[in-house]
Amino acid sequence: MAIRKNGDNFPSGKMGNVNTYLLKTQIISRVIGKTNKPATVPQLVCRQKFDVLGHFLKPVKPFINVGFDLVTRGTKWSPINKATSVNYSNAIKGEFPHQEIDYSKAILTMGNMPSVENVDVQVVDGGLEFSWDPNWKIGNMLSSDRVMFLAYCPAKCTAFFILDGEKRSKGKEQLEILPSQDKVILHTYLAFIAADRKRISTSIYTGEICY
Amino acid sequence: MSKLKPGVLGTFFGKTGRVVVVKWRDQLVGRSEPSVPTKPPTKKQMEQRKKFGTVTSFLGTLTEAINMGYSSRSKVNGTSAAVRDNLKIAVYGSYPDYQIDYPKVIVTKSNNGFHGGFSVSVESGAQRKVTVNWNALNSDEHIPGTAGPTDLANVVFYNVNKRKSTYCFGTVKRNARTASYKLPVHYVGHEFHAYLFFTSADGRYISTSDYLGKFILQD
Repeated sequence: MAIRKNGDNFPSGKMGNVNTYLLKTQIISRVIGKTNKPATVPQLVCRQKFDVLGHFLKPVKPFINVGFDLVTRGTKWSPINKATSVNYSNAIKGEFPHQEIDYSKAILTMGNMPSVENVDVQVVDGGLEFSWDPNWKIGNMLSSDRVMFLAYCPAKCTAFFILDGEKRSKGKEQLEILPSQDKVILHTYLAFIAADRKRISTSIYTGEICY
Repeated sequence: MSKLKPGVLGTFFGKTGRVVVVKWRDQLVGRSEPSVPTKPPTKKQMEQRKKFGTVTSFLGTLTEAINMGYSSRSKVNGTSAAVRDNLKIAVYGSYPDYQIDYPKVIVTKSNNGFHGGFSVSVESGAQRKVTVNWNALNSDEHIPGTAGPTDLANVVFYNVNKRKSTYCFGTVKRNARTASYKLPVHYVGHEFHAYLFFTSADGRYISTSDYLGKFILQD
């Protein structure tokens, strides 16, 4: 039973098999139920893309909530929606049924601050050390910007990250990573966020590392 | 064949007495129960049944951990989901000698990247004392939804000789990095396999289980 409450211009609730509700800024009406028809190949391709993206983005969700907060504020998008959308069209390689994430193209933060170049990642005792040139500044970069790192481990399906690391002026920062029994591959990403959290750079891929 | 519509009785499915109620072409249909097949099973059927039996009888001893670890939000219940996963990865051998591959068994499964232990190990000491070690991050801060220092460690010991499990749930925090347990005296000399997984303090998040290793309980 759908109810039109006082002041609403749409009935919210379930009417037949159509469910209507308010999601962020949109009124959503969708059909509930399962179809018995076998899925077509384009449907299977799409479902597999969402499957691989889900496995990749779930462990990094706290990072994405910060990274996509600014671009989605006041819109119909949630941060995880936007991240899925961006990576859906960019960061998947291979043909069905062997589609997988192209880690070098994945984007985990999005904004208009320019990205840094020449980032160096090295294995040190207890984790990874990221270093960049503290004096290289263009556009709206400030020396008080904070660095954000992420290292994603596909083997364990988990991620290590720092949401507010050292200032840009320091030039380097360490990320603590727990060793596994066997060597694993880590995919690393770096971004900068302004001290007032009003600007953020698009994340860059800083290479894969055997840890 | 009788067609049931929602009325005073409501809608129901399944077998009542010798009547089976099923949904068929969007109609609820009651029909008599099918008879037991008299044909002998094929080789493929026998293989599958044997494999299934091996896995279910093993996982039946881990019920408490599985119910904790596999979320029951979907329509598949925890035990079925665990059987489905372990059937794929944790059985080896050929008919009729199927064996459980203990290091590959998954007792709990994470659905959100909440990570388990790193560099985990188990040692058996004197006086039935068993020590479990793992590694954890140094930070004291905790971002909700990720692994933190207040998460609780849970250990499952599977006794191969008795085919029974001993559970040690939620007594030690993650930042302790070690936990020691004392197993019952009548288990001395038995072989054990141990599994470790973590749950967040509020019980919302759970990690995939890690195989700790096997040991023989010492007196």
